[in-house]
Amino acid sequence: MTTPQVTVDHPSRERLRAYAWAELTGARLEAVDRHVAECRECIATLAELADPTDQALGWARLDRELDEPRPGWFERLLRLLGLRDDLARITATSPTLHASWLGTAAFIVVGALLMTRYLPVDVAGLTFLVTFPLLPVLGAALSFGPSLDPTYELTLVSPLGRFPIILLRTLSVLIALIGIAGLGSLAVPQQGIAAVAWLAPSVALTLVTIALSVKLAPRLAAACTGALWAVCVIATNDSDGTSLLLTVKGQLTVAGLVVVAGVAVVRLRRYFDLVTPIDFPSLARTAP
Amino acid sequence: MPANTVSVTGLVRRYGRHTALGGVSLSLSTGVTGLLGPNGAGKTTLLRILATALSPDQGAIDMLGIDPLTAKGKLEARRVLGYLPQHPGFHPGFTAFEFIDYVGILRRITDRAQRHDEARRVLDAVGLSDVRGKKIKTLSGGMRQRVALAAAIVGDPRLLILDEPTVGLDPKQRLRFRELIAELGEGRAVLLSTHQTEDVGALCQHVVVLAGGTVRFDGTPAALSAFAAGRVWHSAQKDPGAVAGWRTGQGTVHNIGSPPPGAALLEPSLEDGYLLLLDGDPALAETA
Repeated sequence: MTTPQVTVDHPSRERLRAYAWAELTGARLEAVDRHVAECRECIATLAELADPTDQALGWARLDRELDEPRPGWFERLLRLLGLRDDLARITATSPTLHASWLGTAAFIVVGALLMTRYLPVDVAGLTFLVTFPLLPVLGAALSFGPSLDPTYELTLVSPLGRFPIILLRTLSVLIALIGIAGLGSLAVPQQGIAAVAWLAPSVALTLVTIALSVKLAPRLAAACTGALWAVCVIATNDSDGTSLLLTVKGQLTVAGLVVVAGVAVVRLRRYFDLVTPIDFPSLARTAP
Repeated sequence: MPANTVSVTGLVRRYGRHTALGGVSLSLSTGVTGLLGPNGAGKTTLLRILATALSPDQGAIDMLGIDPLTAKGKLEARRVLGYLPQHPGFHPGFTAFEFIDYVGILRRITDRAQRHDEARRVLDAVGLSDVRGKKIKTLSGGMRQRVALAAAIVGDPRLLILDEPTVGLDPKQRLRFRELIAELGEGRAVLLSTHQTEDVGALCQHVVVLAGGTVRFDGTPAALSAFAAGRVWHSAQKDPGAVAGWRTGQGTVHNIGSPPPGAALLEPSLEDGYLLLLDGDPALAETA
């Protein structure tokens, strides 16, 4: 059997030595590894550079280095922020933190902002208030379920339990969306309090969705929360078109809801795995 | 009761008015138990309940001394069981190693070095060491199924639940899978759901047939074959007394049912016993 000869430049002897001693990382390691896999000459050089025992140890180190998972930018950011690597991975695998979903959310925010150019100030404020808090609720619905998570069923039977996974993913989606919507709000300073009135409801509705997920599938929990929010917004709208939720009193009431929902989430955490809500599309199809 | 067993008593699960499991009782011990049954028999529901992905409406489970129907027991049970779902999903951007590493995180192996060692061990066990650095989306269907099996054995679980792992595999891949499952059945309980009677005949010391949400048979593969003793024969044409018959490669018709006098009886196979059992012959059901 012959080994194909490579025509590209060979790595330097010094680089091959570093490779043998597993001192290379990242792209350099991968480039040398690809070359060595097909270059008889470099394999012979490698053999000269290390004695058999050292070489075996070197290969083992090299194997470990090549196996090392390559985290994406978001996971690296979470690690930089101090999150443990396993928790960062669970958070980063949330389907609602993928660029496509966040892009959709940003698109909705931009759409709402563009509407402010054509709507009266109070109507525009109300549009923010209705739309923005529902984005993290939608994110919560999709971050733990079969719709977007390909490993949902494995996640469901994790000894970690549903609570920490739902909490990690939902809160990270909330923070990302607050960032997006916050940037959007900066673009409309003329809206005053209305431009940031979505913030407290976003947190409150997300916590309510998490609390309801103890008994309901996250998608159903989010649908219930969204419906309640719609009723709440309509009920607190005055006859003159202004919303109570856009006043300081209304905002303080929502802040109170944040505290209540937060306490409820903490107290309910142990019940998250007692009853697992049905959330398998195949079951929905087979059940009459 | 030996330590390494699972005992299920009177398990009931309904979806609305549809009863998926109507009082299932069975027990598993060390070795491979085959779970046979037609589509809609309740196999996946039973497996999901045992894997703690679903909760039953009624019934009791003793899983290696743990009650997985309590919140605490559910998390404990998840530590000792491995699960391969019917449709295992993968994050498309992951390599095989990264995926197994992620499953290790879900299984609460927090030490990174230990988790990576475990990932190497299980990938080696399923013969995928050489492709562990490849993206899962580039692997063949058989290799992906082996990655899913590797994920199920992360942490060396004492109970392994496999939902139709050989579906869609070619004969060579199925043979490889059989070898793997047979190895895994040494020293632990394996519950293998399948449509393939050949898999059960080749692998299982114990077989349970589920139909219409109830256990129709619980015994050895030899006893299931024996159901059809004296009820399998061949003839030139399909016999009117046969409940099923098909022309074989030899040109004769293989009949199962009530043979006419003087029929040329054949040695029954596991498939013959299974088909006769599902046909609901009351005489045979009584002998079960």
